[in-house]
Amino acid sequence: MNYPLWVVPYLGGTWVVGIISIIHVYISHFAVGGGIFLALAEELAYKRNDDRMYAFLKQHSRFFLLLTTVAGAVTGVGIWFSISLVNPDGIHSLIQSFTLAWAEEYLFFVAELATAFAYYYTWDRLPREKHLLLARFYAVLSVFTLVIINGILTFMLTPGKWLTTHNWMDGVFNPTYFPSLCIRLLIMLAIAGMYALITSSMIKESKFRTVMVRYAAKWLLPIFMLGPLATIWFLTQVPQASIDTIFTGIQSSGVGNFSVLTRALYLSLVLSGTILLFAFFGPYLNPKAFTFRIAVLFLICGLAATASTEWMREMLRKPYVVYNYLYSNGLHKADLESVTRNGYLKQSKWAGAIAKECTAESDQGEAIFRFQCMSCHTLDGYRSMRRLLGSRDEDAIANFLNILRSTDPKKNNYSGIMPPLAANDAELRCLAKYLAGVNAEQRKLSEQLGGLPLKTTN
Amino acid sequence: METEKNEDNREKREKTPGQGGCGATSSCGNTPICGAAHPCSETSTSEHSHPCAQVSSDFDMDDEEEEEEPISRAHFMRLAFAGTVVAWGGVALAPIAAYLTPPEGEKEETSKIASVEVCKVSELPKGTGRNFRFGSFPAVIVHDMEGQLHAFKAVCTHLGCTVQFRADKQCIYCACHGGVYDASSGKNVDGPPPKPLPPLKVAVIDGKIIVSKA
Amino acid sequence: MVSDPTHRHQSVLQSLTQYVEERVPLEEIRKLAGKKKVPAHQHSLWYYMGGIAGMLLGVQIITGILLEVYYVPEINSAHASILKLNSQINFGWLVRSLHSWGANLMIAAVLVHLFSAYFMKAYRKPREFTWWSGLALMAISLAFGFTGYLLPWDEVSFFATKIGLDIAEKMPLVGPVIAYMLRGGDSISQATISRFFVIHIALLPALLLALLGGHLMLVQAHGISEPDDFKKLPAEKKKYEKFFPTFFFKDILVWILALNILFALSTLCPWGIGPEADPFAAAPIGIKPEWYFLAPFQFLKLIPPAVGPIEGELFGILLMSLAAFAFVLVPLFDKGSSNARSRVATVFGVVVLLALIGFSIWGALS
Repeated sequence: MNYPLWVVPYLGGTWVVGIISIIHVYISHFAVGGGIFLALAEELAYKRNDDRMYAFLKQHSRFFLLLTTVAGAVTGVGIWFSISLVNPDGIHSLIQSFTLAWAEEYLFFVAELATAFAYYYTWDRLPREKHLLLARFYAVLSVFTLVIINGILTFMLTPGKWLTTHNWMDGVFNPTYFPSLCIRLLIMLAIAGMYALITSSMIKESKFRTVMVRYAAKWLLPIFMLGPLATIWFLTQVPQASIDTIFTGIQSSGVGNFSVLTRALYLSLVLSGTILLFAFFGPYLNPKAFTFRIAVLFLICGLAATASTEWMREMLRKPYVVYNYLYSNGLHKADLESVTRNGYLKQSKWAGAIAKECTAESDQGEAIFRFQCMSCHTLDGYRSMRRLLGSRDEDAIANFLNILRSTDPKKNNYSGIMPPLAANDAELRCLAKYLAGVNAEQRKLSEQLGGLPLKTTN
Repeated sequence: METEKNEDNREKREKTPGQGGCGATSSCGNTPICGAAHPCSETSTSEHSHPCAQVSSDFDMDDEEEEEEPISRAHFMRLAFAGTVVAWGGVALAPIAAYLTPPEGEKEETSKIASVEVCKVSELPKGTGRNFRFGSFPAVIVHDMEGQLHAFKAVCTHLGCTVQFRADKQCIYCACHGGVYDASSGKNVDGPPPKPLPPLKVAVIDGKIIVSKA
Repeated sequence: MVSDPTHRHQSVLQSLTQYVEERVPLEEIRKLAGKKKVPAHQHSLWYYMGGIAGMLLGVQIITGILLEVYYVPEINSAHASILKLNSQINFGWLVRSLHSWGANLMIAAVLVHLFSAYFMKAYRKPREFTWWSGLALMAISLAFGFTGYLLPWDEVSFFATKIGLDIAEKMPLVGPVIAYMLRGGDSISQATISRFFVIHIALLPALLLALLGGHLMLVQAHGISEPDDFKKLPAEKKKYEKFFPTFFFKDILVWILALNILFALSTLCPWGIGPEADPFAAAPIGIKPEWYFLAPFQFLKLIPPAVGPIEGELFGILLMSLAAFAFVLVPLFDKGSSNARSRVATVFGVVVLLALIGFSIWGALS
């Protein structure tokens, strides 16, 4: 509301952030998990004095270094760019609270990068035990980059004591910090195993390949043995309202937004389960026939599981960016009442400035739409307004918007998944007028067809 | 989730016999890093035992090893892997069980019924009886020769058939296995029933027979 | 003492195995599986399609049985029972979505399997019966799709059935009788739902399982078909994979992938349900059949009302029947002895495949 924001047609700004972030998740998790993998595998190679394994690790670390440093850094910066364009109010809050934390994160990142380069370029130059030390050092540093960012990510779902103390340490070490740290570490090991499967599947010599493929496959076990426990621990710390949403999805309709959280959770469980089956029947029982092509398919499965899990976790937070503090459209929960009383445009710096230039009511409506709705909706693409509005007329839209203004879940059953509408009566009218213009064509079409009743199913 | 816990217990059970051979197992499964460290110590075993590295031979492969160790690390690893697979597969059955559980609110409201109007007294002459529905179960009412009204739950205490009043013998009779109850007290007097019929309360209001829970 | 339980455990297992082996010809089955080989070449990918279709059939059977628990094949309750399934039953939406998406994926897998067998010339001697049973299985799969589509009794299912039966009626001689029998009268009604229900859950499954049994037996008997250029290779260059365990475990991996796709579709786009069918309402604008009937639908739309003395629809149906019939006759035409005939068969296959794809896309866009 206080900053200009970037409107992305069809896809929606959130998906721009989402796509960049998920790529970053893949790479950063590989960076940490792969760091541990390199250290432990090198230790094994050192103990057994196995030259084949050393050669393999050298090969693997080149692929590792290229992927994590280049793509990791590019997507990391990409996240910063995209979130500050798409949700400036949200990032404003986070930067204000965690300046110091992010500075530390940056230090760890630079140290990690430096060690990674030192590690790669000293293969065969340093004595083996010194190089092993370097590998261990890298593994520890890469875990440290997770230590900070995990705090900020979990803070958004469970701000915990921070809501009252506003102390950044309370924000970082929030209720879901440790369970989430466990889950992420386990996922990292699994991803490291899957990437290692790809490089091992390329080993020429068949006997050694069998050994390495099996070794890599076993890296998937920890997540499946301990993951469920860590997840239960995580879920006990999550707000009750989010848990309730999951159960509603099991019991009621699978269609529509209400159950999307449940469906994402279930998809994540199914995909994870099949990864285990895949690892068992593929590389573990049948390592000889584990080809590069299968390894790639396997990695795709694994990354899909990771993506659906992250997506599910993001949706747990609905309708907030910072739970119980900041709504997903950049509106502070504490401001809601005064905004509804005085008017949204009056209280927001940038949106208000734009609205001053608009004379027509529907243009003012559009300003509100852009700042309050477009963080999740688009006109024609993702969660399309044209589709969702159906053939409602202006009054029907206004009535609906009035429901959205309520924060009482009994009156507004969207309250668990959408931020409440923050607007006074005149602004609500403007917004309705604008939206009635958006779906004007559909309304005309349905009137020509004899005014069929509204289709609200699906 | 339940299955997952069982899986963990099983893991512990498997560990105990294996303690002699594999020090690594004691730390396995407590922290991710150690859990990961475990497989690497395993490769050393698998490497020398893997010249044939084929699945068919895989299953017999351990027999020689087991002579020295009750459960080898490779064997444990295989059990752990297979066990985790089974546990996760079992989770797939949970939705089916949930699906087959009937939704709430379907349970018959009628079971809460406390009283029911059967008919007028004039419609039930002396020496006759009739079955009627009392909420979710059948009931029987008897107008005996003395003019007394008796009502019982009409579910035979033997195997749950529905009983009936027999005018010819003036008793309550179960057609399934020939159980006989006394029509005025509900007492089991002949045949297999082990217990008397549970009685219901009868009242006559304005010439109508009202039966309610005793 | 520590080793005792495991040894006892082992001996119990052994005696159990012995008990079973004395009574079930496991040894022979194992030998058979051991002998079976799968040719390894660049087109090996297509060997997985039949397995995928079979796995999806398994999903259809399980979810189909589960759906029958709640579905009511009665004209006033059918739609309501699906609504209840979608909104009140735990995981009802999931079971139904798996069944609907699974049906689509299964038909797609069967189609790919059919065309890959066609282009690899797997219909040649001695596999003619395998080919014909496969064609029959394809037809049964489509019949499954057609009958199952009516059962939810929503707007589109009603009109799709109406149009489908009207087309069937156009067939000379037998058409009207078939349509009348399937419909159970002159219009789509309770009788149609009952008949389609019986066909969908009793008749077709029985036919399918019997035919599939025969199909698989023939595949075992003849071994896996090798394409021409593989057969021509010198013996030492022919590479084979053992069916068990190598190919079998890879098969499982492919099934897992297919299952993942099915679950992703079912959870991300769960199957919805339209408004209840009203036999007297106008057809909704832009109504289209399912994608696997789109090509013939679009083809019939293009044909003028009359071609010469023949009615347009009839002409279209005859033309399509001829093309289908050519698939039945192809093993008799292309026996592998003549290169020219082989080429004709390939070209014909390509033309039909392109026509199917082209008309389907056209139909979807128009």
